[in-house]
Amino acid sequence: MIYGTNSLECTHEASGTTIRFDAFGALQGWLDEQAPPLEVASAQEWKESHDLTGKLVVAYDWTYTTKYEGDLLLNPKMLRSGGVDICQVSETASSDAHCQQATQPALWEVTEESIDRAALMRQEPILYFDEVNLYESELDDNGISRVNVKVRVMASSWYVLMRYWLRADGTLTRIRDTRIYCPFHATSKAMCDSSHVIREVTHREGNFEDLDPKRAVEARLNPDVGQQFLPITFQKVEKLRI
Amino acid sequence: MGSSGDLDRMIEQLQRCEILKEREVKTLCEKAVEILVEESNVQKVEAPVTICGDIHGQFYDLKELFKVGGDCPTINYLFMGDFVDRGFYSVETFLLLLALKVRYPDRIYLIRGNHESRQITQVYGFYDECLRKYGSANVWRYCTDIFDYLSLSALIDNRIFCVHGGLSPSINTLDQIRTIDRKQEVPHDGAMCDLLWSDPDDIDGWGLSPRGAGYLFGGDVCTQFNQNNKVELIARAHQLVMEGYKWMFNDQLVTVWSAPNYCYRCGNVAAILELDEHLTKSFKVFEAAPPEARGVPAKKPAPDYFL
Repeated sequence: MIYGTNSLECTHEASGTTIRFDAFGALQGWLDEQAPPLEVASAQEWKESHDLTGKLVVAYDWTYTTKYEGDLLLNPKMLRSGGVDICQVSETASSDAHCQQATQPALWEVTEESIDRAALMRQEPILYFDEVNLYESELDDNGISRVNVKVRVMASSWYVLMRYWLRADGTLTRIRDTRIYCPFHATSKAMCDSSHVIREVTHREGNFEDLDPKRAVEARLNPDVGQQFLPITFQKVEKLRI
Repeated sequence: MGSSGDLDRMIEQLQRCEILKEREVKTLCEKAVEILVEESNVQKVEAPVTICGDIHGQFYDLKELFKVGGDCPTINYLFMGDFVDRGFYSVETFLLLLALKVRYPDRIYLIRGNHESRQITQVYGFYDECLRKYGSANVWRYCTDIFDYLSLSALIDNRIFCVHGGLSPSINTLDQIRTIDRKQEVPHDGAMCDLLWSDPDDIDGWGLSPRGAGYLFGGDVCTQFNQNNKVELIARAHQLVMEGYKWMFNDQLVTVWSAPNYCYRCGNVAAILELDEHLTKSFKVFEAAPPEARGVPAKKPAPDYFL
């Protein structure tokens, strides 16, 4: 199931730089990824008990694993609308004396910084919250594969989590998280040369064989629980340069 | 139970989306077994009849289906399986259909889907729902015992073959289906498994699913099967189609899907296929029951301190 009209966009109004998440980007990430084939738990037994002579083996990544980390749109108003918007945007950019680099393309750069988890764990009122699905598949009753995005905005920061979650029953769990964090207090002056938008990408994969059975069930069904017990297979932290 | 009055009362109660007492479920199931055990693996059905696909516990959308298609027994129905799991009301949905079956055995036919299985219902909701609504697994046990008696397919006026999933490479003729001993849990392989699990695909011949288990079959396989068995159409369910129905293979196969806005979020419409006494086909497409009709209000997700 593809939720083609769902998207989340976070825009830096001064520059027009936008971080966007949508289903087509996520599916492009699936096409680009070409994850190695995975088979369901019963596959070996099934293949041994069936005569597959002359039968076509259809191959594609049915887990829809994606390397998507969101799209960075440099100036969506300029790209997508007419001339009036272009004028408005360039006026905004030039009127901000600090932003000398407005014409420099924004990009993600590796950083030593990290997301301030302590700040995120403070019980601060959530002023805005939403969750959108990008795509999901029930894998013909062999588990679930899903990409969704959550956003929450507090007085002190905004925070996004896009998660690809695969539960292939009897085989493995795969979680790929893209987290984006931006504290507001830091953005006002320092925005031009370096922003405080931090992106953390973490891939985890494995199964829960070592857990006690009750815990394992919970870990399998709930990715928030599951991620605590899965080894990290890839991680990077980046900062947005606008 | 004994009298049709008891049954009518149960049907009325279920139509209000109220569950039956555990002992009533037991009695209903005992009665149902007597009827289902007599049915063939390829149950003969006469037109006019309305063919329906997956329901998946979406009780209020099933009521919408009857509103659009007409009430049973005024209209004859054939449901092609997957009554339970995923939706919120698998208990009420399955028991209503079963009660109608017991009350009007020649007016409504239920065949088995891959979700009518002990193993699948423990993962996808029906088991948990029974525990939640009854405090024990007894009702789940009564129902899953009934699942073993459900027929595997139907044949309408010898011209239209109906099955939940699709074809099997070990089945060339309907007689081969008739010889299956169906009174068991859905096995992991073999003809019975294939009938409930396989999918049509735009390939030649037979294909193996990329998952490494499960068959795909092409248009040539469908043509050959239809010719061998002198049928003109295969009607099946099993896969979500956004428009409610989907023709394939030069109109030799049709997928019918009857769960609108599947899982309460897919945004699809649903369909039923009406056949008149001359087997003239017409689809009725319908949307999910309006929120005010379904008791549970649609709500925005609660703010969540996710990390």
